[in-house]
Amino acid sequence: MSIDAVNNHNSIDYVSEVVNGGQISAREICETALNNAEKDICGSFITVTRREAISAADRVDKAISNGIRLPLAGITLAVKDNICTAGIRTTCASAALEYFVPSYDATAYERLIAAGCVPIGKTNMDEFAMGSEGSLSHFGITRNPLNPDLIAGGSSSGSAAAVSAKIASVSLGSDTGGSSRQPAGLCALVSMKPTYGRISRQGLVEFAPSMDQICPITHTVKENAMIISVMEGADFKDLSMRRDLDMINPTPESKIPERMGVFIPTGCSAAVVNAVRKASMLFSESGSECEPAELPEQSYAVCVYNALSSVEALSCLARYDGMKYKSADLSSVKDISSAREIRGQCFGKEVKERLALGAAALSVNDAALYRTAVDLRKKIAVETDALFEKYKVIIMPTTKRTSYRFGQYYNEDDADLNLVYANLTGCPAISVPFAGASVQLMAARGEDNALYSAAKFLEDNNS
Amino acid sequence: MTEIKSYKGYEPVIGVEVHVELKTITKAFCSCSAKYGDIPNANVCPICLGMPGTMPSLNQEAIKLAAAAGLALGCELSPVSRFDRKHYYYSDLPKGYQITQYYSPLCRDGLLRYEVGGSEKIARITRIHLEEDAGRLINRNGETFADYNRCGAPLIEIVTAPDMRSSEEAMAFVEELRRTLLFAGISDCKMNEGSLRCDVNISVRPLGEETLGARCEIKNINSINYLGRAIDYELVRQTEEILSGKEISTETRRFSEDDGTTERMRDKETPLDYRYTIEPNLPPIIIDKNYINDILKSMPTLHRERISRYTEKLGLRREDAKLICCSPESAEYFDLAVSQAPMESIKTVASLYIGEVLPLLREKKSVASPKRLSEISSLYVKGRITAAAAKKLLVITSERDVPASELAEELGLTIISDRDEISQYVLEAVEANPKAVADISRGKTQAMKAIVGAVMKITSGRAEPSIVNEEVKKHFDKKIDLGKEK
Repeated sequence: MSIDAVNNHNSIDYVSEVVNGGQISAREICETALNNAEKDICGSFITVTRREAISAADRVDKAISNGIRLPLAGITLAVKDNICTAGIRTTCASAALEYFVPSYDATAYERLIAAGCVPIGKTNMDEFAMGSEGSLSHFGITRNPLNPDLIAGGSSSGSAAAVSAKIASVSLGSDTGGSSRQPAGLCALVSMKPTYGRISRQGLVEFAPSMDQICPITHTVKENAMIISVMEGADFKDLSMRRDLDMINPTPESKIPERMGVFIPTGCSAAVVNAVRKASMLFSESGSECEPAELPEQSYAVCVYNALSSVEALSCLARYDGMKYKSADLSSVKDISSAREIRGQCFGKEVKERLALGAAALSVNDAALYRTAVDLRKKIAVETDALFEKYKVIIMPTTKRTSYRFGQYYNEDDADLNLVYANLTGCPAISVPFAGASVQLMAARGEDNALYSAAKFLEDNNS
Repeated sequence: MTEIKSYKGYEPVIGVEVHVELKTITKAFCSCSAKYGDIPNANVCPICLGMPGTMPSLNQEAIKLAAAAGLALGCELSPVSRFDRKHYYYSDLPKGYQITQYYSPLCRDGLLRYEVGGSEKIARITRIHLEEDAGRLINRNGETFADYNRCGAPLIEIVTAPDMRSSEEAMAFVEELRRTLLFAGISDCKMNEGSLRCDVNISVRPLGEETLGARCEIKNINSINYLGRAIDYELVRQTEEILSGKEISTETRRFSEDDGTTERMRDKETPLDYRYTIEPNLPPIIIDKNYINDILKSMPTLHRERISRYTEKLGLRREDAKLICCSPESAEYFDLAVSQAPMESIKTVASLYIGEVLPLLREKKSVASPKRLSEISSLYVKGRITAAAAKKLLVITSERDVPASELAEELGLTIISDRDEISQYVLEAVEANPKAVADISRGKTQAMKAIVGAVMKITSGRAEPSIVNEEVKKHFDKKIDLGKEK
């Protein structure tokens, strides 16, 4: 079997099948992927992990020659650089962690490797997962493989680009306020942010831990479900996990929800509005009851997200003092002000702005902003839950517009409106390419399987 | 009758914050050993070093001990309590924040009764919360070294209301608190090793004034004695400041052990300075009735209950009962000895224990087992050994654990109370002391004492003195009677 035949075939269950069958070696697939990663012109990777990839591929081949079947045999995997990989530096695209090599794997990553995945590299991202254009990395920008003049989205820019360019079969991103769904949407890929607590966060470098989730980015809905079904499940190292969730069905059936709400915010491009309308028409023609719906508290949902994520970031980034995982000249640290200066060199402008916002939210007027945001988040969750009493699934755009040039819409505050609800409430949401744009489906907590089924329906009927 | 210690008409108002390290095997949020005294950084892992991507686990034993502390101090336990993060930048804190409980502590609204000069006082406990310890910085030759062995070890912080009015009260309170936690098995409470640390909040006000003055917090106090000195120093300092027309600034001060003074460290932090946030990585602690009952069931008997049992049931003096309850080990030893002793020998057990065993126990020297103490006490009470022999047996059985009666026989320490045997010794003594005999026959009955002494000497003090007296008397009475008959 030729390598091209494998590479041109998107389905990971096919690749896994032929690797398990011994028709092609994991080593051969991985060599090609590594070469492509090293030739990549989109800036998708911070670190290409040639050595680790080859030893992982050889382990897979050896296991198969010993008669062991692996569910994800030889599947090439790109991993966002905020997910810890033992022995491989994990930078969060920040100077603060430029030399950080963890001694431990993230649980989700570890499970994928155990299932036969081959890690080909750590992907570029916006620093500490803060950003939506893939332009805020200490290691340079990420471009959209579909059109290198355009953004790949962010913050999981490299994870989307690497899969979109077919360098890796699948990738892992992280999603705190849309950071996986948005770049997947802009790169015509699928990404599910599962119910909060489905996937262990152990080993995911924190940005805002009450919202962070590791998310797969894939070409198809089924691949996405397969990856999550391998990563999910109890991990005693993450006490914030939920133990009451149904397992993900790795082969989702195409199925329409009974009742759906359709939400189209103002300011969306014609292509995006058209895609969502077309999708909802398709659902209603097939028997779903669809009606217009509004997400709760739209006027301040993004503010609440910004306040809370910035406060949590301020807390989680407090440990980066510039002396531990950075090559700072420590002999220059003489007093508190020189220590402050070294810390100042750790972070880019965006990160500093968010830390300042977090500090303000916790200081001004007796931390009123923080405390109000905590209360409003609860209110939003209650009202969103009420919405899901009525609708099984809400359909909306993933992003207000399709991909655009770097900095083109820099000062738009409400860009993330559709995306943050899933993070504020812990609900699952999936972005799936449809009719030239991407649509997002959101459901109540725990309803991840229903989302996959609805997404599969859209995917099957995408023309 | 309350005793108010004042200075130039001003009284101190005192509250304390006591940090206590819990007696757990592992740290609060990871599985590293919480052992004291290992070589620096022997007990660390990515979690307690705060490395990126690591998440805290939760030591259930720490929660249990913190809850037990709350119950021992009469607190209400919150059915739901949560963890928060307290932020400050310092090299002893690798995460940049400490996991603590700010918004919802585990325990609230308790109280502790304590005694000062024979009268009972009460201090209210405002809250007890669970948190993690920081590392230790060691300054040496201008360089700073960090030891993270303690980093992440479980602590409770006990905060009192400003209910104390003198250094004496504060000292007695902390001592009573220490003893309570020690007996409840919560901590080893060693101030010198830092497993019990005390910060004190103090303000002064004119006697009779109701409102509180501006307060200072004194840190770095690591003995109960220093606590008293720091308070007395502050009472004088703050009063003098006020009398000279200055205002007391709310600040954090450090106590200097060298000269017993305090010096300003910084303005006192406000909660805002710590930027408290919710800890999203830990689930809430849920405590229900069953949980509380299980803790109460396994709670060791506290010293207060033991003291009343010793005085009421065993008839011991209160001072003796308190001495026995100086530590849980002491009380447990005593209870074991008492449980094996008949009621009539309990007071002997107590006095031998306090006089002979406890001093050695305190110095961690080897002592006779509780069983031997009760055996020896019984031998004494039955009149089979003398007090001197009892003490000697206690020393010997601390090295050779054999039944006391066997040992007493073997070493010839039993009292001789056999009349025939003693009369034999009397004859011996009479023969060896012709001068005394002559004196007696001349009517100097005083000289009989010399014969008694001689018998005691022959028997190495083992002969029962009353019988010896009787036998000596009998011997000479007989002589005199016979003389009369002739």
